[in-house]
Amino acid sequence: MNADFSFLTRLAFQRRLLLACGTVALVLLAALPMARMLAAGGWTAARIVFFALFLLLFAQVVFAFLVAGIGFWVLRTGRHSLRIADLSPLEPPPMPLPATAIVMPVHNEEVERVFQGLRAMYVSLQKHAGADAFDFFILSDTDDPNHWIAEEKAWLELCKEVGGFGRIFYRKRRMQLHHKSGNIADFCRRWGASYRYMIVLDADSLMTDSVFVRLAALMERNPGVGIIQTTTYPMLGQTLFQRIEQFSAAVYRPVITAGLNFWQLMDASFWGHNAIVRLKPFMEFCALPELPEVGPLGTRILSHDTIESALMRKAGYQVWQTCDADGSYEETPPHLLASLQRDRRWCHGNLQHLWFLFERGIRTTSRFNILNGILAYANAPLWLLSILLGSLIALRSATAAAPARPGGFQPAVNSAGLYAGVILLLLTPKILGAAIFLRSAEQVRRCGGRARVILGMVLETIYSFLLGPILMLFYTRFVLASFRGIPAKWGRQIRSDDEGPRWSVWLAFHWQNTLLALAALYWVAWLNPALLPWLIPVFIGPLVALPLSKITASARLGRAAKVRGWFLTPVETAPPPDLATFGEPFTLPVQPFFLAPQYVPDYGLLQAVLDPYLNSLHVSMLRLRKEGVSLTREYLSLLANRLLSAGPLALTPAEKTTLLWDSDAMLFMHQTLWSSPAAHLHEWWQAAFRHYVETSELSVRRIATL
Amino acid sequence: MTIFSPSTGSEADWNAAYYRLEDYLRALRIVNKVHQSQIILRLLQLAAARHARDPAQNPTVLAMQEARATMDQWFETLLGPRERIGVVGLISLLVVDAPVKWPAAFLSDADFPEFRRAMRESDVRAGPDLQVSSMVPRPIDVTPLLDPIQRVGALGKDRPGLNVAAAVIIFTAFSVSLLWFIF
Repeated sequence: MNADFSFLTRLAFQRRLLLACGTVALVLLAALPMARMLAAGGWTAARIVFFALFLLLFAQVVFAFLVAGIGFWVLRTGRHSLRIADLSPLEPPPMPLPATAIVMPVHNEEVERVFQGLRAMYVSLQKHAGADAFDFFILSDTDDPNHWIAEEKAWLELCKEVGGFGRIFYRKRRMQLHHKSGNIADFCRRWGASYRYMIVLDADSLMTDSVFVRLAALMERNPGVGIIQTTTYPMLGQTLFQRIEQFSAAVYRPVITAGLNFWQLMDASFWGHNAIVRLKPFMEFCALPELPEVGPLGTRILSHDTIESALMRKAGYQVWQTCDADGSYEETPPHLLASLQRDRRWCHGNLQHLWFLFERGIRTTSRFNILNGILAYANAPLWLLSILLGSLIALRSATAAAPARPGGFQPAVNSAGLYAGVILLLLTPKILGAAIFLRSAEQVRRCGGRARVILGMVLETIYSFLLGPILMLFYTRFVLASFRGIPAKWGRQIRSDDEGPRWSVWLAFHWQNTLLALAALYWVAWLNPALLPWLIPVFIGPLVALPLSKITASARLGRAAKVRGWFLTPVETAPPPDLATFGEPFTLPVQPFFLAPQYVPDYGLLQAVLDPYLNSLHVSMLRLRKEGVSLTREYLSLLANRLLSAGPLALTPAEKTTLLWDSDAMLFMHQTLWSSPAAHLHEWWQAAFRHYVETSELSVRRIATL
Repeated sequence: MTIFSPSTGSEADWNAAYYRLEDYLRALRIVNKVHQSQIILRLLQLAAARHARDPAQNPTVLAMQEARATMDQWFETLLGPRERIGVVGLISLLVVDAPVKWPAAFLSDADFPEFRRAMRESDVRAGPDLQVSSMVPRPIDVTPLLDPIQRVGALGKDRPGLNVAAAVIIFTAFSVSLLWFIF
């Protein structure tokens, strides 16, 4: 059964109209006194611009406030939510479940962590009757040879351990075109026709078996749905930064998600991971186009998810977000630096979406979602501009030679009221989220008790107020960099870090913003100290950014906080039993030889050349070279002989990668190396061979004692 | 007692061949010393026979060639003829954990039924069969409202001087406006 789509459309329209009217009403409530205040001093160009910015930014604050309010009401009363799970009965789940691919694109990730997560998910899924429907794919875009070989090893070890041959697959892409979206598209072109659905995971995603099955069942029961996005919750945080973020998500996200679901309904956003996608329309309609060659933002889309959901909606398929299912998790960056590296890419990607605001056929709600994504970063320079303009207007009024006109712009009660109103609106989503969270005695107990939860909320609120202006300054720089055509790179995300970056790194990262805040503070204090109290909340964040970043990046402090019961989350203290095996580390057996410092840079290549088993594994995963390409044969032969006669230092990284990609060359090098008398080998290989053999003896003695 | 006594080649060369075979078996995780010795002796004898016919060849090279040939033949009896049988065979050995579970089975003429069955059932495929299909993007269809912007952008594409002039004009206009706002 499927809900009547016209009913959904009507309901969505009513709810959005309600939200729009509420937003307009509240904005007008603040706009009128603001306009009066500004008009009293006389309308200048600066005041007009300031007022326009105020309207735009305040409308967003109001909108977020209303969404949270609605979410609170929905959760409090349990009424009028209409989740996707309500559209059709889920029990019993449709059996057999259709073929579903669970894909995990990876790029130079921590191999053991990736496979640890995969193992936990695979093992938990096997308990389900419908497990046979699910195949796992590791889609590798790894370009570091060491990681590449480690991934192959890990795949084999994992399949051996869990009996995953024929169910867990590994594909290494030769050309990393178009980053993650290109990786997924490559999968679709090779195997997409074999599956009905695709569940996309990130390298650090974790989902329980019940969520996998539930998602497939939801899609099966609702053929008009193209994408279902789960609400993910951060977990496994080690550093203080991660722990605060996961605590914040646990407390506040339910209210926000419930509110979003209320008005978005079938026009939700896609986050690009922890979601299920209907493959046929995805392949037909959601391939990302090249952007016009105009402007500095580039032609290839970096942030693909919002556009894919917009294209899916354009094709007539619904996009939903679940707001009720637990069991979808991810890890977050370990500290602010890593988070902002990710944000730099997302900022550029979201700004590229400007084109799609004007594309024909995109639905209005999709355009709204796209605009929201753009404003998530583009707001930063607007906020900064409004603060600058507001300060300049205030300073100019205060320092004007003429006596202040009656009702002139001054920090009077009206300004204070508006200021307080904005702060209250910003805080209200947190207050409402907290209110809902604290109602659940079980959740409170799992988080260490009421006192600790409230303490955590207070600390998190203070932290987010300090962080806000820091992010504002960074996002402003990101937006300007994007419009200057400085590309954002798709580098490897730093997903785990024990002690965090050094002080010098943080200094290099923050000194400009801190200096800017100091200069602004000094300037305002010199011109009009009375303005300082208004601007302290803006300045204080950048002033303390350096120690704040360093402290929150510490895993030691994160562990200490956990021991004290601060920032605990329900999933942390009572992890889902489905993912119990995640706690067991996934360790790759490592030949000690390859850990020696002189061999570490090339240990992937060395393993694949020296070790008979790894050589066979690697060779078997490569395509057989086509006959008849003599120039290529000669070139590869040249490289292989140079590697053997002069060692890895005689080749560039690109040349070593070229060799790694050729099965004939890899086999040739392996056989030649083992067949060559020691005296015929280059001294580098002689030493490597000797070292390898000696450490093999140690490994073998260990095996012999088992 | 079988004694290895090659008619050609130096003792040093045959010792080197012996060590190389030993190292190779160790790399294959064949840990049983007696089993190792038996395999090495057999391979050395095969290599010595070839060396007697062509003493110019290096014993280590011959020994390793014999090792590979012997392994290929053995894998073929277990798995049937396959392309790159040596590669396929080694992977199967790794997958079934043969060196740990059946340490004496490697290159053995004796029958190890469970080992044989495990090797035949080992199926290592990195990916399922391809089902090639297309996923082609549709060009972005921006409304005619933005066509002028695209045309202007195309105009400046190969004219860096024009771009610089435009940038200077825009920057000057912005600065003047900002100063006017402020003062």
